Amino acid sequence: MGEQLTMKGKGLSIQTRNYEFMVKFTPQREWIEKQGILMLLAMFFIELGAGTFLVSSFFQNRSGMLTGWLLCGLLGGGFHLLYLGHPGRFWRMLFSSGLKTSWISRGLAFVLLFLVGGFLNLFSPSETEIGKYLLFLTNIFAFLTVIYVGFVMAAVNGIPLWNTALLPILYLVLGIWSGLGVTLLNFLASGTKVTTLGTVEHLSRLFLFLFAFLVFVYLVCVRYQHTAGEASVKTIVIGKLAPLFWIGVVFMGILLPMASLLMETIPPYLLFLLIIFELIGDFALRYCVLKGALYPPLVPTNMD
Amino acid sequence: MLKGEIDYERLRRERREYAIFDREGKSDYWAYTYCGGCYGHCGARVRVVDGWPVAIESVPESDLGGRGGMCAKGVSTIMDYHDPNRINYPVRRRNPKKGIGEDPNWERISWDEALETIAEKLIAIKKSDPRKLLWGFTPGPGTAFKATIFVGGFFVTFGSLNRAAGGVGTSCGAVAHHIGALIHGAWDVLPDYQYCNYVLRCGGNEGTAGGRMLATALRLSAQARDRGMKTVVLDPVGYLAGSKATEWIPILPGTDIAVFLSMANLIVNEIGIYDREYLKKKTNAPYLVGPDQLFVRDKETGKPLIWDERDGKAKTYDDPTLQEPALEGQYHVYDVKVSPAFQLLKEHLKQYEPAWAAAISTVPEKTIRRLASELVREARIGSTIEINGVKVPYRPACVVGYKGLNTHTNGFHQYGAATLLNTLLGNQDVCGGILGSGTVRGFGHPETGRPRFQPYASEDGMLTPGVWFTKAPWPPPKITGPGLLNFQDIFPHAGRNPYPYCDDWEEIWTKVGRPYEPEVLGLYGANTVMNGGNPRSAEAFLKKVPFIFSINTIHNETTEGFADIVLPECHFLENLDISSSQGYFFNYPIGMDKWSFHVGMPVVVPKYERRCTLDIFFDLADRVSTREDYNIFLENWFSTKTMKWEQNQAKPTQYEIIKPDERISNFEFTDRVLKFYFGKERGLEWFRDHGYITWEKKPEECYWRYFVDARIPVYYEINLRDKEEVRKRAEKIGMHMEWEQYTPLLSYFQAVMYKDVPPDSEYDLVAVSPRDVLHTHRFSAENPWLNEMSENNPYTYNIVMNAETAKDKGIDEGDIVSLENFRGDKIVGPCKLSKLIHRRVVAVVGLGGWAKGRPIARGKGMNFNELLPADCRHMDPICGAFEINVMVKATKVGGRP
Amino acid sequence: MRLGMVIDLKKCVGCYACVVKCKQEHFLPTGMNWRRILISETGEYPNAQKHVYPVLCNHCADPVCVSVCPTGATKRLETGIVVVEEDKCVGCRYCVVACPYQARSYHREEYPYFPHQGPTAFEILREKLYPHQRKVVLKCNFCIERIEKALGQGLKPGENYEANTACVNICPTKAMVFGDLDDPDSEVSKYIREKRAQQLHPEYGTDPSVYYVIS
Repeated sequence: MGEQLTMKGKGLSIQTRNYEFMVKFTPQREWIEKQGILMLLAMFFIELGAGTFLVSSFFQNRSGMLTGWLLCGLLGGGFHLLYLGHPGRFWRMLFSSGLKTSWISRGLAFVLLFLVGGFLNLFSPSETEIGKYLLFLTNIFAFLTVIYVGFVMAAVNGIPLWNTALLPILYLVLGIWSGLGVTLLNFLASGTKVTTLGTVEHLSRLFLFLFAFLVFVYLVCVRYQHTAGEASVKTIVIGKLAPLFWIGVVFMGILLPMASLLMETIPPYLLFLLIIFELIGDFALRYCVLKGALYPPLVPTNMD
Repeated sequence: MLKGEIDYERLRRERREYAIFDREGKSDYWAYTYCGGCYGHCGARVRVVDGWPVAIESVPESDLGGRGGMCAKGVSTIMDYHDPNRINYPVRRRNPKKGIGEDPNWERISWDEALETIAEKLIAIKKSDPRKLLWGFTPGPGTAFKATIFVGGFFVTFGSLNRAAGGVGTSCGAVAHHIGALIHGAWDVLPDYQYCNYVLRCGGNEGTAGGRMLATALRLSAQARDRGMKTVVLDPVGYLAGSKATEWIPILPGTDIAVFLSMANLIVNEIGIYDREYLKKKTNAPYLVGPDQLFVRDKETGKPLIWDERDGKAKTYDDPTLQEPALEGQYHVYDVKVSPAFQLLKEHLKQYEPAWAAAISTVPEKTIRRLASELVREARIGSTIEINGVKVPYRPACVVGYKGLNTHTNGFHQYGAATLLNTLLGNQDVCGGILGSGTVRGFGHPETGRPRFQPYASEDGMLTPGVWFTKAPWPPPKITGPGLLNFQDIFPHAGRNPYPYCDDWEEIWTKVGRPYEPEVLGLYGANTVMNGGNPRSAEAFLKKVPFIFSINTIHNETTEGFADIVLPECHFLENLDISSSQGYFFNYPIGMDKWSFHVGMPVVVPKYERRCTLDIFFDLADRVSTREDYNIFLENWFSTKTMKWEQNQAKPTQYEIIKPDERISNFEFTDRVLKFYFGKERGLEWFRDHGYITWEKKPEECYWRYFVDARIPVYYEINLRDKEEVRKRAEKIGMHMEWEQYTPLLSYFQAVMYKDVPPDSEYDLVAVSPRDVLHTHRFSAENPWLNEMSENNPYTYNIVMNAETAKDKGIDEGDIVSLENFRGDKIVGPCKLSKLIHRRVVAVVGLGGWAKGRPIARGKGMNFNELLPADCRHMDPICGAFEINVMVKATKVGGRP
Repeated sequence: MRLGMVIDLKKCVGCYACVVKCKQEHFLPTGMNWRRILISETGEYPNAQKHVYPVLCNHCADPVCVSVCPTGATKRLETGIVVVEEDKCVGCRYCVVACPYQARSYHREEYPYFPHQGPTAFEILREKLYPHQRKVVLKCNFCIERIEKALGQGLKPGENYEANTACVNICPTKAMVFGDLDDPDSEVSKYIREKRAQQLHPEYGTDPSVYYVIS
């Protein structure tokens, strides 16, 4: 049937009524509306937690690693289980054919392996070779945990906003950038040496720019990918989600932290606030990506 | 579980008989009946589990329906059966106040008390003046569609002709049925789908959404489409029939008359190809007309005369020596200059030019010319075809239409003009053309020759239906009165009209002299306040009737607002109803489809204290002592002696089914009818197990035109003959109507909605109400499955407006819009924009509901009828058709929620 | 065997019979439909066109839902039918999100057909005749119980009434033909060839088993 759509007229032709389902661009609902918000929270905390663990482990900050482990395991895992219809059956995700093909299955494996490895590391740390290899392995799983949600979504070829190689990369950067933020918070709270803090800060800034750049590239590329992609991007940038995007993601998440670079030194309370803003930016972006996701119509239709 | 609960011995007896439908207590079985979702009455089979119907489909081997297929309405009827709001016991109103929205505060009473109360009132009326009884019917959810026979028969034999359309009849086929009778001897018409190649479809959506024969028409029209039949749809709305058509031509509502008259002009006066043989032999086109525009009649016999060109003299129409009827020319008969009616028609049509029609209708002149020549070319006038060894004329093109054509103040002439086109093509009731659909001509089952019926010629040699369901359309009744509450006695050609539910009724009745007041209204399955014209007009009348009783399966806006007693009828799934198979109302395997006789039978034994239609009426007839006459009525009908309301003949000397003094039940009656039709072995038990019976149709039955010696009108002389009498009586009581319409030649008249407001008025849109594929009348709105479908359908619950028109008015998709007519009546609802609707038209499906007893229907859609003015100005003066369109203005009242 | 269907859009008028029949046959709860009718318009007045597309699960040969299912609850059988084993479904709704045709539904807590009036006998019988687990994903299963029973009796899908899906049987315009796509002589295969039927959005790469004849 191919592409028979033209974007014209002032509207974005997004479904709002029952009879427009899959006749206009149709929003994704299951993973954002009502109970779906739990999925957003799950994704956020899982990646945030794993990213925090990864970064903290790099900087040998044990309280950061613990924070990351708890965020991922308790909050992220908890929200995910809460979202499931039958959480008691979650073990099936590991012992079935799903593992061969499904990114959620694989993701669960990564998360569990990360959590187990992290648990061993945190609660019975070892300075031995085995202990170091275990930590290394755990970090690999943490890395995979940070990136896997992006693959889960990129595998959905029905949603052009998600079906791009840029999404896992964006999510990876997002996870690490936020992880840097939480690690920094941890350092601040525990009052660590300035040099380490400085390195974390520098890395954090690097990832901030990387993140801003990737968001831009991502949105531009998706916009040209498909008319549903274009509609999604328009929804995020000038449509319903625009306030959240510009205030939450761009202003709070990117511009304010960038502006702080103009300051000679950033007082700790301001740094604390900026990190919270960055986390809000992370959450807001994930919200936009889930909420702005649109399916193209199944049938030929006037788009105006 | 419920046997012990029945508090009425007679009902207990009935249930004992119905026990055979219990299927010996089997917990999972399939049973046969028919579907009561619309008039289509498709044969059905139903799965019953633990005494509850759970699935329904139609019968693959039967031609009545979709051959296994069925539309959504039919499939959904299962849920009507399960509706917890069904009425299970007789109830009486405790709240004395009546009006729209009143809470009746029902109290349960026994059948005995209910019927005693009703009978008492009826007996009193019968003694004083039976006309004090007003009655009406409309099919409700699952009620018997052939209410005309059981219900009509009861009230007619009671002695009251005061029938007011219960609901649906008001905005339905007042003209279509009348002209259908005169032209086809049939209640309805359909293209011969198996053989037709070209259909010009106007103002009707049968085959796509129209519910008169839905699944059968769906099946046949889909096959025809697949075969390559071309359909041109001329309609203000294009997203129904227009969406499946080869071509959709938007037209302003109620202006098709101009297009048809100009097409007739082109065919007769320019193209010059039309079926002259048909006109000569089968119509009154050759009848000689004198200077007074009436027929010149034989001095001895009074019969109309025809000029025989062969012998050069005038002869009566049925003279066996008549050879060559003249269609043109001027002659002298009885010293008077005369011309054949066709000569006058030819001259008369010349004034209707395509350019003129284009200006009125917005259909381009080129298109009108093209349609005329396409029709003529496709009709293959003069050709024949052999069907099963029988040679019949072959005319594979036709014009067909329904509500959108005939429910206007110019409906008679508009529908008549469409029919005229068919007459010129000679395609009526021949192969490939337009077929009368319904009980027209049948020789009966090959083993018994029953039931047998056919049209015949009566007064003036004109076609008369063998079976009819309301006031006989021909011969024309004497004009009497006024004396009826519905004024149909002064309108001889009106089988129904919106009275007394009109704003001017009070005033007119006072001018009549108020010979009596309506004391009782008997309703069957109707929702008068919603469907009978304008709700406020109906309310004004209903409030004044002292006693109203109604027979329904579920409460509705009318029972709650106005009924004093409501009797619980069986849903069709529990109803034993032979009338629905007998009356072939709309459902009729058309063309060469097999005769398929299904019987409405209980798939489960009726529950609670619900009763079958005929059981209720037998009981009531017993109590008011009209049982003998009622029995005779039913005997006449079901034995096919006289299948009409007018049974003024002497009582039959031989009783084949029921004797006047017999007090048999519905069960026994049905069994006897079936055995009479199909043999002693094929009674109710046989039908319970086999469900239906089919037999092959003969070409002489469906393509009967040249096998029946009768003529049809091209020249409506009766209009002129009646004009003065009707006008005099009507004007005297203050009914000022367009009497010019009582003219013998079909002529242009403008539909009243365009006259209600000036041409540049702010009320610039025509509001129309097409049938939606998901609904039948209003009752289907209560069905939760259909409601779900409606919410997912773009048209059902919305006001549909042309996208560009909406843009000009600043209205966006989904905005809340108010439609207001010139009187200030309003409806409000969400707007759906479409490119498949005429720029000056808005469409609203007639739904809306406020009854507590119909919780699913409450607040869904809009009640289109609120917009319609109901008075004599908005009624066709000949057949009583109610003007179904009105000029409105559209204003945005809110953004999309 | 690869069971599939062809839908002739020239015949279909969008009467919703298939949607309601499916609901009836499988005792689906309020708000859940395994089939839908999508109605759209293209073009300009007065030459616009209305499109009526009855859609359902396409029982794809390379289904996205099967590959994304984390528990293997969704799987493709030998007959080509893609089914959900309710006992295995964990309710993550990945398949609902991933299906490009949006053919799947999550079974939430439901309210009865007549709200505030309790379940009807029909809904009570659902528990006996065709129960559905809550909080799992459900979808069209090509009336698998009918098909399996018919195959067991040696009947051929598409040729025998009992071996057809309920929706195909109930269609009054006979717009649908069901049968074995792997059999080149089956009615459905012939229909697809002769009328040049197409899949819906083949670019999604799932190889649907439902074809459309576009008018």
